[in-house]
Amino acid sequence: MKSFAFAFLALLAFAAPAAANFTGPVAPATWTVTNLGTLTGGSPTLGSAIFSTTQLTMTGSNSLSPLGDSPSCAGGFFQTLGPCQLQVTNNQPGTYSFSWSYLTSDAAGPGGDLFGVIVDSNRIQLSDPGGANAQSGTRTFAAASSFGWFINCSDCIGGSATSTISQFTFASAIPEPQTYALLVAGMLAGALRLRARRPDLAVDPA
Amino acid sequence: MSIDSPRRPWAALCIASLIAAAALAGCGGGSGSSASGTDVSPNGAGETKAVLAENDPSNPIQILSSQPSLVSGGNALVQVALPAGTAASGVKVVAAGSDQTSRFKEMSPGKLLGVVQGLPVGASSIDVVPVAGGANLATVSVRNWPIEGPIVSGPHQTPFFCQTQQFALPDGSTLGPALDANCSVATKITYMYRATSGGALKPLPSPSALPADVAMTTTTAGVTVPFVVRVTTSTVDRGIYQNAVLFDPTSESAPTPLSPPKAWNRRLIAIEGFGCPGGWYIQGGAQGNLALAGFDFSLLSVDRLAEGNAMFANTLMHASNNCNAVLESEAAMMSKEAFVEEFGVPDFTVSAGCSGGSYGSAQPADRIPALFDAVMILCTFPDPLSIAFSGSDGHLLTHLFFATNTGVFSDAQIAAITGYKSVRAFTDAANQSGRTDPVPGRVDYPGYASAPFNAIVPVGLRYDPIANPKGIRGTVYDASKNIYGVDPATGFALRPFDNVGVQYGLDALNAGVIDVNQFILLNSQVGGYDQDANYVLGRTVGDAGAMLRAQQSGLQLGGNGGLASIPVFDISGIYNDDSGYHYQWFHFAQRDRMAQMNGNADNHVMWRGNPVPAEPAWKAFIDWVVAYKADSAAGTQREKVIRNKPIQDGCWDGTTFIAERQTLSSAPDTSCNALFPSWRAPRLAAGGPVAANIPKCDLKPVDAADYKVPVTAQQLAAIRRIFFTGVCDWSKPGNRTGVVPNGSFGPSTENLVFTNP
Repeated sequence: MKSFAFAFLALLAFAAPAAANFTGPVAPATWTVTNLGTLTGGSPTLGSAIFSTTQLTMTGSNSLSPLGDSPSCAGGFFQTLGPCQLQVTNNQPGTYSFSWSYLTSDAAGPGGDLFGVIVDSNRIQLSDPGGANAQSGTRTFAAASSFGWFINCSDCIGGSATSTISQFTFASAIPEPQTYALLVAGMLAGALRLRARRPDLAVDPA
Repeated sequence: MSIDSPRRPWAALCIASLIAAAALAGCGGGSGSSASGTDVSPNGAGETKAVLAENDPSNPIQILSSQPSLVSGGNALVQVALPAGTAASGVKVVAAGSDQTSRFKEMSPGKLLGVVQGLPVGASSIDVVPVAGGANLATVSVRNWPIEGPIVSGPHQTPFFCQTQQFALPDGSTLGPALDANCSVATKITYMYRATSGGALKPLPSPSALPADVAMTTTTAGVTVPFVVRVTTSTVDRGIYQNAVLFDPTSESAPTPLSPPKAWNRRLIAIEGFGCPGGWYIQGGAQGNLALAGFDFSLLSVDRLAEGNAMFANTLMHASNNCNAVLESEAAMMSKEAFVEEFGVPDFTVSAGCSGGSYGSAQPADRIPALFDAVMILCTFPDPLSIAFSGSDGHLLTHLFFATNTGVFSDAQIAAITGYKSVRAFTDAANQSGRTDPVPGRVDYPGYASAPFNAIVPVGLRYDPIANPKGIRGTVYDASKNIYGVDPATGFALRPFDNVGVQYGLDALNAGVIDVNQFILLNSQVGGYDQDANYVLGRTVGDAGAMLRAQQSGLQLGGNGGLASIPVFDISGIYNDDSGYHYQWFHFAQRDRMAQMNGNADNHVMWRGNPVPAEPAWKAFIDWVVAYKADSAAGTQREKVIRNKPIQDGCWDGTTFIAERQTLSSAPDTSCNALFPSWRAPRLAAGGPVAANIPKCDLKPVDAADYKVPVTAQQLAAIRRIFFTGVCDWSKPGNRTGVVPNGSFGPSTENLVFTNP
C-alpha cells in the first residue's frame, strides 16, 4: 500500500506544468493588456506593456492636469485605487512567483501611481504610496481563476510609474492531457503490483 | 378622572355669540407669490431683523396670543384699548363679521380683554365698532391657520402615524383612537394632586371634593393652595399638547384668561424632550419627560408645579418624536398660543432641557424671538446637525482606521487625529452618523445603527435601496426635507454635509503625533459619502441650497436670532468625555456661535460640574429672568439681560463653586479644566472653529507654512494633488450665515425663506 501511495504522489508532483519566464503556457501571447478608465487631461499617454521572454515592463498612463493639480482620471483621486489603470492579466489558475521593481517619475511620489497584482479580480497593492520612488520585492500568489498586474495612475498627472517583472515562474493548477495519461498509467501499475502481492495479504501474521 | 370638553374650555362660559351676517368677503387666500422649490428669503443671509408682521403698538387692538398673521385654531386672545372717553358699553368687538363683544371684559380701566373664537381659516379682521353705528374705531387684520398646522414648517410630513391610543394620561388612561387623519383628539381635563405623604402626583378621585390627604403648597407669589394640578390634553399641530398648572376645581371656576388659576404665578415653562434618532413620521406616544441629576424637566415636575409655575409640552417638541427643529418650533409656538388662550399671558416663558432638550430649547428660541424669554440648557448640543456632522466626519475615519487601513494608526494617533479623548470616545461619536444613513441594517463599526425608526413605522414602508427604493427614509435630512429641499431625480432630501478641503489630522501632524506620510494617507483615503451614505472615494460636496437653508432655518443653530437677547444658562448635565458623545466641546460650540454673531456671549453663562447642584442652578436662572424682566430702564432687551445677570461662569467642585471663565481645554490650565477637561472633534482637530458652524469652508491654496513639521517638495506636491481645489481657510467665514428669525417654509408666505415643491 505504501508503494502505491508513493507512486500516486510522485505522479501528482509532476502533474502541474511549470514555466520559467514568459514561455510556454505563460508566453506573452497568453496575456491581455488593457487600459481602463478615462483620461480627461491634455496630451494623454496610455499605459503600455512590453514583454520579453525574461521580463515584463509596464508603464502607467499619464496626462496633463485639466486644471492646476486636478485629476485627469475621471473618478480618480490621488493615492486612491481608482478606475484608471493599466492591467496585464492571464486567465490561468496556478501559482505565480516573480520579482518586481517599481520606479515613479511622478512629482508627488508613489502615491500618484499605484502598482500591484490582480488575483482573481481582486487588486492587491504592492507599492507603498508613502515609500520611496524606487521600490522592489519578490512575491508569490496562488490564483484560482486569473492573475495579473496593474499600474493605477490614481489621478494620472505629474508623471508615470514603470514596473518591471522578472524572475517569473508559473505552476499551473490544471494538469495537462499528457499528465492525466501518465497519472492513469501510474495508477494501473500500482494496481497490478498490489494484485501480485494479494496472496501475502491472506496470511494472518498473528 | 378625565372629562371630555371642547379644546377651548372657556367656550362653555361664553354666552351665545351674536352671529353677524357679514360675508367674509375679503377673507381667503393668501397673497404673495409662492416660489415653489426656490429660495425666497426676504432677508439677506444672516439678517437678524424679523420682518414678520407683528402687532402694531399704536393699534388699539392687540393680539396677545400670537402674531396676528399666525393665529391658529380659530381663537385669539385680544386686548382692546378703548378710545379716550369711550365706555366699554359703547363699543362692539366684531371678529370675522361676528359680534363677540360678550366674550370681552374690562380688566382695567379702558382695557378690554377677551378671546375671539371662530375665526375662519385664512385672512379676516377684528374690528372695534361703535354700538351706535358708524366707522370702525379700530381694526386689525389676522390670518388664521388650522389647528393641525402647518403654518411655517412646510407641507405635512407623510406618512404620519398617530399614537393617541398609546399616549398615557396622568391618571393612567389613554387618549384612545384619533378622530381623524391629523391625529386629533377631543380635549381632556385631568386632575392630579399631591398627598401629604409626598411622592409623585396621584389622580384626584373627584373634582368636586378634595381628598383628606391633599398637601398644601405655597407658590413663589406667596399664595398657599391645595396641591391640585389641572392637566389639559389635546392636539396641536398634529402633536399631543398638554399643559399643567395648580388649580382647585372644588373652589375655582373653569380657568380663562379673564379668570386664570389663582395659584398660577404667571410663569410658564416649556417642557422639551430628548433624543433625535427615529424622530420622524410619528405623532409621539409620550412627552419628553426627563429627570437627570436632580433636574426634573417633566410636565408634572412636583418642584416646579409647587412653585406655581405652569408647564406646557407637545409631543412634537420631543426630539425623539420629531427631530425637525422648524416643525418643533411651530409646535411650540402653536402650543404656547393654546396655553395663552386658555389661561392668559405669562409674565415670562422659559424652556429647559437636557441633550435633545437643550436644542429643543435653543433652536426654537433662536428661530422665533420672544417665544421663550430664557433657556436653561444641559447636556448641550447646539443642534442635531452638529452631532450628525461630527459623526459623519468620524464615521469616515472609522472606515479608514478599522476597515481600509487597519493598523496604520495607533490608538494615540487616532485620538489625536479625531480630537477626542480616546478611541472609545471617538467611535461612540462616529456611530451617531447612523442618523444620516437611510440604508437599513448596514453592517459597519460595532454599535453603528443606520436608518433608525420608531417601531410604529411599518417596516414595509421604509426605504431600502433594493427592495423599496421609494420608501420613506429615516434620516435627519429626510425628516427635514421641507427645509433642505429634495433632489427631483430621487426624491431624497438634499444633504448639507461637506468635507471638501478639510485637512483631517492637521493638528496631530503639527503636534508631531503623526508623520507627513500618514497625513497624506489619511487625507487621500478618507473619502466621503453618496446620497445613501455609502462610502465613496472622493470628498462630499454638500448641496449649497441645503447648507444655506440649514442655517436660515436654524436647523444649524445660528445664535443671532432670539438667543441674542435672552439669558442662556448652560449646565454640564452630563460630564463624560470618555464615551457616549455628550461631549463638552458642544457647550463651547454653542457659546462661540453666540459670540461670533453678537460680538460677545455675555448673555450666556456656563456652569460645569458632575453634577451641578440642581436647585441652586434653577433659582439662579429664574432670578436672572425676573431681574431683567423687571428692568424698566432704557436699553435693549439684550442690554437688560446682560446688566441684570446675577451669575457668572464657573464650575462646581462638589458643593464648592469656583468662579472662573470656562474654556475648552484638555490641559489643567485652570482650576475648572483640571476638574473637567474637555476634548474636541475631528473637524476642530483639522483646524476648524470650535463653533463648528461653517458647513462649507472657504478654500485657499495649499501652503507649506501651514505645516509645523518638515515637508518635502514631493510631499507638498502630494498634498496639493489631494487638495487640488485647495484646503480650508478657517480664518474666513465660509458659507456661515445665521438664522432668519421667524423664517417660514410655507404655507405662510410671510417671511418666506423656501418652499419645497
